[in-house]
Order: sequence, then structure tokens, then C-alpha cells
Amino acid sequence: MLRLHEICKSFGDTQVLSNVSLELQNGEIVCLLGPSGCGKTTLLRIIAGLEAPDAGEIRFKDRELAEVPVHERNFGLMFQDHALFPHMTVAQNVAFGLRMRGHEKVEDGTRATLSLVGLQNMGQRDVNSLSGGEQQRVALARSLAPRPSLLMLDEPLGSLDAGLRERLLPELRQIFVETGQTVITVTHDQQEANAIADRIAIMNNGRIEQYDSPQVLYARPRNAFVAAFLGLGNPVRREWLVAQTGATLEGHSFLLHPAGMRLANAAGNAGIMLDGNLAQRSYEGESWRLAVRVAGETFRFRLPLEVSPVPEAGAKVRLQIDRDWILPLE
Amino acid sequence: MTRLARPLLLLPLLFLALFYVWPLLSILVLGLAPDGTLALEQLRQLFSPWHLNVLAFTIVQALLSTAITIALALPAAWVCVRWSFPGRSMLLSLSTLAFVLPTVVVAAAFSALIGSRGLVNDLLRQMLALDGAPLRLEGTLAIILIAHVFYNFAVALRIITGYWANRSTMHEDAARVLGAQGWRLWWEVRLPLLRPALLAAAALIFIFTFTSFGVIVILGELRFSTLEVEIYLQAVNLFNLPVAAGLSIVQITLMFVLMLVYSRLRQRLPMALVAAQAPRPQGWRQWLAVSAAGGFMLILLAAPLLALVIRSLSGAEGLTGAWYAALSQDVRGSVLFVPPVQAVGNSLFFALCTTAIALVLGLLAASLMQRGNRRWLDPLFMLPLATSAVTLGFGFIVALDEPPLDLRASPLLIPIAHSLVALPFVVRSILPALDSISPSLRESASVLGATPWQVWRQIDLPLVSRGLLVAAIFAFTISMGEFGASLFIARPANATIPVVIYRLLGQPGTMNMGQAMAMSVILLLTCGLGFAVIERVQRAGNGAF
Repeated sequence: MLRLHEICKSFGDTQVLSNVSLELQNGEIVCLLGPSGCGKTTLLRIIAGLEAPDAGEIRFKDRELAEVPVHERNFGLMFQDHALFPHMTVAQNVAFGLRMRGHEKVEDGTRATLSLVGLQNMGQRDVNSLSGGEQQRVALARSLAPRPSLLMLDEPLGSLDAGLRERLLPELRQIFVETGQTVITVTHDQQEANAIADRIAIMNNGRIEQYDSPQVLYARPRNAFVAAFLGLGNPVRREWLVAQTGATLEGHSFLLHPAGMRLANAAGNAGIMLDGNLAQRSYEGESWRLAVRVAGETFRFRLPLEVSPVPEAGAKVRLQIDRDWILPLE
Repeated sequence: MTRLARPLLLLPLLFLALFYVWPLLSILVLGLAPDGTLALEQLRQLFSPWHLNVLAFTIVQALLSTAITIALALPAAWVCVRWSFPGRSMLLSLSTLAFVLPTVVVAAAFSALIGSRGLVNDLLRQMLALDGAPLRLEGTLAIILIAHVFYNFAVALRIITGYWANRSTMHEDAARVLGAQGWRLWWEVRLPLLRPALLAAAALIFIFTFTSFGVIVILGELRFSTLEVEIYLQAVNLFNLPVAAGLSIVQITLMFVLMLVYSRLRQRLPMALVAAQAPRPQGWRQWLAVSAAGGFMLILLAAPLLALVIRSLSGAEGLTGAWYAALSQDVRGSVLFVPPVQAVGNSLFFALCTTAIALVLGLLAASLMQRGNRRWLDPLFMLPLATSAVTLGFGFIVALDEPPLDLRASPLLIPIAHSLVALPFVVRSILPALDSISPSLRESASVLGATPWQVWRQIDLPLVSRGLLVAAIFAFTISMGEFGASLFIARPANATIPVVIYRLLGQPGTMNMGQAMAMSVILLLTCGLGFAVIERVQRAGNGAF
């Protein structure tokens, strides 16, 4: 439905996007995930038509968008700061897009959208008096009301506190799925991306590093950046791995995925064994988080609580690695 | 803004070129090359002892006014920052009101209080059973200085309190712990820390008093001449246009230098109102300090205005409305040729025109600044501030009296001059409102389907309405009170209120005095009302968005 082809954009001397290509299916929820400054917001603004790309092509339903001005694209964009119009009530904000697009039943549309986001009784409220969560809902309702063919959200929950975010996330996804809305959302928060998206595009330095479902991203990170960004650890070089294990492998560098790590006990001896020191241990409620140092490399992984006792920091430990979780990286 | 509207943005630039740059250039030509060839020898006239005297007096009175104002405002500012006491915000508002009053009103108010026909002299005469007035202050430097202090007290007060309120007491506390106290705390810590604020305040007050015109011609009774007054006298009374032009060039040059100095000094200053969380005074010493400062401010700022109102209502037999009634009569032998009430009509008409012109131009200028390069646009639109009204008026006479631009007879000439004076204030009121609109609001609106015109109409315009209101009131009150330029370009038939007050004050007789007082009160109320609305709107604006 939406097809970006080799989009490039620079501001002055800074290359913000280089050859970004991306495809979206109808009804799909896609998340652009990356550290701040990676170009994800710029990409969103280019799709919306607020910025023009230096090169590349955007096609929506096989129509080239270059000559279509912002207000004729029929997209929705929810800003990070929500950008609610301070001189309008909640209902007037939500009705704005319907009025601009010349809808016939502005009031019905407004009412229906307000109840969709759970604000049915707040229409007459002054937007300046709303809490952060309420503002977020109004902003969402405003972008949803004209039924945009593509809805974009820039850090939709960015300004909210952690607790509220956790509650709103599943709700947000549910609204999108129920309405069959095609969505691109932007975030730097991995949890948020996982909870909301069908597919995640991990961005770094103006490029898309990997574009996959959350599950695939976790299990098969393609390169060192993705692995590190998802908190899966740093790669080890082949020479190191060969020296430690004697295994024969093809490739330059490898990720020893934390999912395949445990502390070896006397009984188990399947997989590869590495001897090292427990450099650090911290208690996290449902699990222990361990950092084990083996021949100059540090591996971090979680240990479920029932495994006990956990050795003291500094103790010699033996790390057991599952062969299936040794992943070659690009 | 749509593509069609873009050329409109250049309108303010055209206005400046036509009615600011062109008149100033004309003065330049007249002063340096009246016959088309460079004639520098006539500049030599400017260095006559008389003109050097004028320049010296201009500087001396400005320096004295500045020093006295700061010396008096410093303790008052200290009290206002240090303690919160009943009436504090009223006193601050009063001082600002004094600053925005038209010069003729201030001059009339001081005439009413301490002039030879004033309230204090009446009281003294009755008490001491004298025939003549014991206090003869008109035509002395003293009354000029007093009026200047009244005028500029707010400038010093606002800058100093703003600076102090924004500083933490950290340095002072550190000095205290190290053993400083009493005068040493003042001399070694407080005043040195305050230096940027004191310098900026001094520079601004110097600029204002350097170009003082109304106060000097009315209260100084033409016994003193500043550069500003001399330009007027040379041009209008002696009709010596080249000399007037030469003096204007000196004036313009000095003003640009001074404004440059001021804007440098000003950059380091935060501007803010006094923080509200100061403690109440405690103990009799603190209460004494507060009462002394508050009492002084009340007498300085309120007494002249009160005297003005009383004088406008008092006749030989006590309370009377006769002076107000007389405003509508065409008294025979009057200097005015027209009943004073017509001046009220004139002023209202000009003020409305000014508001319309300045608002349209200001809105366009602010929009232009949002898009264009602010580094040079911002100072450009502030330029009229750096030019005295008398110079502007003179420039109009010199430049706009011949084809292709012969506007001498046009009723629009006065509103155009007033718009020029008001434009910097109008732009400064609109621009922050326009700036405070986050770009994401406009972008949201366009993504939601609003065309550029709809974005402007639905988002920009409603959100700057508050700033527009403030700007409109500024333009209106500035026009109502403008004196220097109007005196130059107003003809007898379209004289404005300030011009009429000036003429009335210059005449003997209780009738003229009484009418001048009544007219001044009308002007005072108009400007006071405008000021009150501005204060309210701006205060309400702080909390809203």
C-alpha cells in the first residue's frame, strides 16, 4: 500500500536519511524504532508531506505523492507534543479534520471518535485543563476522526509517565486493530515497539538496519547494532569463539544470545562450556541478572529465580551455551 | 500564507522606505547639500557657541535626570524586591502608567501641582497670605528634572527589580557567611552584581531624556533649548530649514550610537516582573523602610495626576465642571480657531486610522519576520524607536511636500506619522504571540486537511488575537498622546488633543488653564484605560498558553 523507495534527505551537511526503502501492507502496524537522531521523525514528516525528500520516491496505492500537498494526502499525524489547538475545546479539536475535509456529519463523527478513545463526556472541556493521558487521547481522536488512509504517530506516548504508558499501549493497539487502521509509529522505546507493532524497522544513522516482526528481531538480529540496541549483548569475533570452544564456524562475528545461556550445574553437560568469573549480579525481582566474564568478554543474561543458590560476585562459574543460540552476524 | 499573499508581506518594507528612510534622506540632503552640491560650510553654523551650548545643555540635563532617577529608584526597587507589602503591585502599575502617559499630560500635571498656577502654590499662598506665587518653578531646570524623574522612574524600577528578582541570593549569602554586612554588602557585592541592570537602565533613561521634547517646551517655557527643541524652533519659528536639518543629523547620529550601546547592554538582561513570593516586612525598621519608599513613590507618581484632576474640576468658587463644558465652545479670541472638542474628534479619528494602519502593517511585518531573516529585519522595524518624533515630523515636512508625494494637505499624514512611531510597539506585541505558536500546531492543521489560508485563518489568527488586542491599544494610545511629530505636521484645523493642550498651556488666563487641565484629564483617562486593559490582557496571557 505504501512504498518508499530509496529516500534521501539531508539538512545542510548532515545526511539524515540515506536510501531508505520501506513497504507497508494495508492494515499493518509498523514501528520505526531507533535512537534519537536516527532520522525516524524526519522519515515520518517526509511521508506526511511536511518535508520534501532530496531523492527517492513515495508511492501510496500506486500513486506518486511528490506533487500532492500535505493537506490533500488524507493522512493523519499525531505529534509528540500532541499539538492540540489551545483555542478550541476537545470536541472542536476532534472535529477540525472533519470540517477541513468537508465531511457531512461532523458531529456524529466527532462523537463516535470520542467514545472510541473513551472520552465521550469530555467534548466541551478546555484542552488546556486536560491531564497528559487525556491530551494524548484527544490527539489520537483528532488524528483518527477523519479516517486517514495512513495514520502516523510520533512518539505517541513519549510525554507520558511509565505507568500510564504501560496501560495505554495495549489499548492503543486494540483501537488500531479494531478500526483496521494502517499505522506507522515512531519510538525509541523497545517495549513500546514490541507491544504495538506487527513489524519493526530498526533505524540507525539514517538507514534501516532490519525490518522484521518483533519475534524475528529478537531471535535473529541481523547485525551487531540491532543486537546491541535490543539489549542482546555484544558480538564476539570468530577467533575468540574458536579459541574458547574449538568449534568450527563460518562468519566473522557471532552473537551468543542470552536466551541460550545458563550456569552449568554438575548434572548438565550439553552444549558448550565456558569457564569464567561472575563479574556482577543484581536482583531484579523475578530473576537475577548476571554478568559473567570469560576471557576478556562479558556476557549478560537473566537467571530465573528458582535456580538457587546464585554464586556470590567474584566466584568462578561455568557458563553453558546452547549451540542453537550462537548466531552469525553480518 | 498563500502564494498570492506573499507580496503583501513587502508592504511594511515599502512603508518604512517611503515614510521613514525617504524623509530621513531628505533631511540629510537638506543639511549637507541644500542646493544639490555638497555644502559643508553650512555645517559650520552648527558649531556656533549657541548650538554648542544647546548640545551641552541637552547632555547635562539628560545626565542629571538619569543620575537622579536611578538614585531614587534604587532604594524603591530594593524595597519592592525584598518585601511584599500591601499596595506593592499598585505602585508598580502606577509607575508604569506614568511612563506610558503622553508628555503633555505629564507637563500639564506638573503645572497643576507645582506650577505658578498650581495646587501647591495656591495652598502656600493661602497659608502665608501672599499675593504672588511663592514657588516659581516654571522655566527652571528643577521642574524639568522632576518631570523627567516622574517619567523614567518606571524604567529604572522595572529593569532593576526584574534583574534582582531573577538572581538567586547565593552570592549575597556567600558574602554574608564570609562576614560582609551593612554598607560593605551593598558596596562590594550588591551594587557590583547589579551593574548590568544599572547600566542598561541608565542608557535607556539617557536616551529618553536626551530626546525629551514636550516636557522641555512646556515646563521649560522655552528658556532652555535641547537639540530636539532647537530643531523645532529653527524649523518652525525661524524657518531656518538647513540648520534644523543639520541639527537633526547630529541628533540622528547620536541616537543611533546610543541605541546601539543600549541594545548591547540590554542583551545581558532578563526582563521580568517582581517575583511574588517575597516575605512581609518584619520589625519597625523594615516597615519604616517600606513606608518611606512606598510613600515617596505615591507622592512622586500619584500627586501630579491627582492635582491634574483636582485642577480640572476646581474654579474660583470651588468645584466646577465649567472647564469641561467650555471645551465645546468656540471662545472668541481663542488661539485655536476651533472649539477644543473638535481636537478630541480629530484625535479619535487619527487614532482609529493609526490603529488600522499600524495593525495591518505590524501583522504583515511580524509574519515577514517569521519567514525572513530576523538578524536584519528585527532592528529594521525597531528603527523608528531610535528616531525622535520631532525629527520624524521635520522629515515629513521636508520630504512629503512636493510631487510625487505631496501629502501636506492629506488628512492621512498624521496617522502615517503616528503609525511609524507605533510600529515598533505593535510588532513587539504581535511577534511573541506569533512565535509562541508551535510549528506542530500549523503542521497538524495541514495534515488534517487545512489549506494554507485555512491554517492562517483557523490557527494563527485566533492565537494572536490577544497580541493583536494589545497592539491595537498600543497604537491607539500612542496616537492619542503623540506630541512631537504632531506639533510639526498638524494644521490648525486638524490639531490633536496634545497640540491643543500645549497651545492652551502657553496662554495666560484661568479659562485656558482650566481647559488645558480638562483636556489633559480626558487624555489621561483614555491612556489609563488602555494601559489597564493591556496590563490585564498580558497578565491573563501568562497563564493561558
